[in-house]
Amino acid sequence: MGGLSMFAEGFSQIMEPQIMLLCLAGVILGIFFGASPGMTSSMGIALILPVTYGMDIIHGMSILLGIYIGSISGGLITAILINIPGTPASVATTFDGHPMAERGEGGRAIRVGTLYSLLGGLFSLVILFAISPLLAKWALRFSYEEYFSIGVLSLTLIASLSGGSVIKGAISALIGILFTTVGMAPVDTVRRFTFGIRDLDAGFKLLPLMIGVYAVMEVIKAADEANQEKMTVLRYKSKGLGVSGREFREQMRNFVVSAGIGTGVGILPGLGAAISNLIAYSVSKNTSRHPERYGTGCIDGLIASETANNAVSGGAMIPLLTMGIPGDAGTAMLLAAFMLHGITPGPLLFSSHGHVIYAMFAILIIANIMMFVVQLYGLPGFLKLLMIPRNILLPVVMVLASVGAFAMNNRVFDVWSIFMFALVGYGLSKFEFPPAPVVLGFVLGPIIELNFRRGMMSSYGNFAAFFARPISGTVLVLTLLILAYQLLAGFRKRKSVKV
Amino acid sequence: MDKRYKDVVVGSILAVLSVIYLMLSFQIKLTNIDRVVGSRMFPQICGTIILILSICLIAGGIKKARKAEPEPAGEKKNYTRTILVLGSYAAYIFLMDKIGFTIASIIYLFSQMAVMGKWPADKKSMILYLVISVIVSAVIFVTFNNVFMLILPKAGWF
Repeated sequence: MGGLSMFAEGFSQIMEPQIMLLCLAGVILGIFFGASPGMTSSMGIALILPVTYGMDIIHGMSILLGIYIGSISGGLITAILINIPGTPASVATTFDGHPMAERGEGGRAIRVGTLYSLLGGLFSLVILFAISPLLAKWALRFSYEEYFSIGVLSLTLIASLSGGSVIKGAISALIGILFTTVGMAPVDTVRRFTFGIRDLDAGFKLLPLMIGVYAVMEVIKAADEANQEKMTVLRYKSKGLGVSGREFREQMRNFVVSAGIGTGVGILPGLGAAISNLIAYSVSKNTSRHPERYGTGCIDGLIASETANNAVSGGAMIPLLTMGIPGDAGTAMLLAAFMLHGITPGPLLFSSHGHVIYAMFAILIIANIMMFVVQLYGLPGFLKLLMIPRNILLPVVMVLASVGAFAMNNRVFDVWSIFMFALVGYGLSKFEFPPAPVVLGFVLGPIIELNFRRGMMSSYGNFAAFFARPISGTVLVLTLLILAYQLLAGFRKRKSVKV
Repeated sequence: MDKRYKDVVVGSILAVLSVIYLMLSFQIKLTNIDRVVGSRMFPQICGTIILILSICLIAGGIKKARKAEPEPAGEKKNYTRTILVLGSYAAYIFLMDKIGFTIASIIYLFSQMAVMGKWPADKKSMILYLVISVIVSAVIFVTFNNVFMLILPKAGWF
């Protein structure tokens, strides 16, 4: 299907008031989740997911994608005006955004940040629209071997780039995988680690894991900080878009580079917006003619961060839609949403459910535009909402999360598993293990195992077959190179410490 | 716990757990459907990698601990709130099944807000917490039950 007719079909499906309202509600909720410190896009999607159980996929996706887009951008509000990044995606926004606000340019910083969030988002969508149909066609040739090797590469990237110790990142990812080995095994449906408990036969679900690892942890953290002082909001009144025509032209290179970094980081599995803003900020600073101005409140740093984190949204959708491999924790939740509606993302999705994909593309464009309008004009409202004390907000979030987990299968077991994952998450955080790899390991584990077993069966137990196919072989060699690089880097670090 | 030995402690816990996991994996039945790999192999590969990584963590932790200076004893962290947060959530799940969603949610919301708020809470905040707990629980129940048609845990009498 040609580009224009693809959009015509997509827009024709979503042009109804109900979908628009759902998308708007999603964007508003998303900006709120994004702006609230400790709440992320994935948590927002997890909380609203149960609301979509009774909807069809396009209605459901319109609210979930609205949250996804809104939450990545919403983080800038608190980053600029309070100096607390609403999500890890806006850490670099605080570097220049907050000094601007301290100078009395808070309003301008918000406007510039929101404009470039929109532009970054749209840039990545153009890449998504251009690449994903072609990649899906190419991925049709993928067999078990390719899915296995891409899964392993994704895990390696997640473990090595999640921040902090590589060993801890890898252990976190493997713990996520171990949870997937509970329940019926793929291929021969043998019961594993169920200890005769019937509820364990179906295994654990992503939603309780996500809420246990993230949401409960936030409640504990907030309880620890209960007696701290109230946040102070800086002035934010302003008009216009925040940038002049000349500034816009001057920032073009910075924008394109940051958007490219954001989209690229989004495509790589497991990294997400949390890292893209920091990479784009440092690249922008290192290639700038006036790096000394960074950190003092110059718009260059703000533009780099906000462009890159929103550009992740389109990039992360590429592996999700074409291969069924999520690019970050937020898209992992979207994958869960697809599954709940009986749709498995992958190359076949473009031919079997093309209308859903085109509708999603259209929703993504609308959601980005809505985010821009809502964030600019609804700012005072969001700031009021942000003043809701966390000891009132977070327990309500926990009740909603429990409702969601229960309603998935109508069993209290899933709510108990939130509690169990909360204990695991708390233990891991105490020992400085990153939580994101646990979630992605949980999503990728079954993909890796199923394709490993099928691949081994079709090659009669010969693992060399995974290296014999060109794509799979290349990906596996790349994985080995990354591992070798990590080992070497670790070795060098130790040596330099000794010297 | 001495912070210097953090990695050694967690590495040892993980090593023990992975050994238990590996031992349990031998109880997984093998079938004729998949004679090549079977349902045991994948968990065993993952368990073995965790075991190896845990040993690396222990080894690295011992080296680090030897180099590091012992930290002066700081202020001891108070875990009362953490235990209360986790405890009240566990109690909530237990009660949800026994006395139904609405009543359990009211009790949970109220206690959690009080636990997470300023200590000691004044009378005004307590009344506010109670009012919010009742309204939120009722709204969630009615919305999910009547609008989204999702069944929530109900006790026989409510």
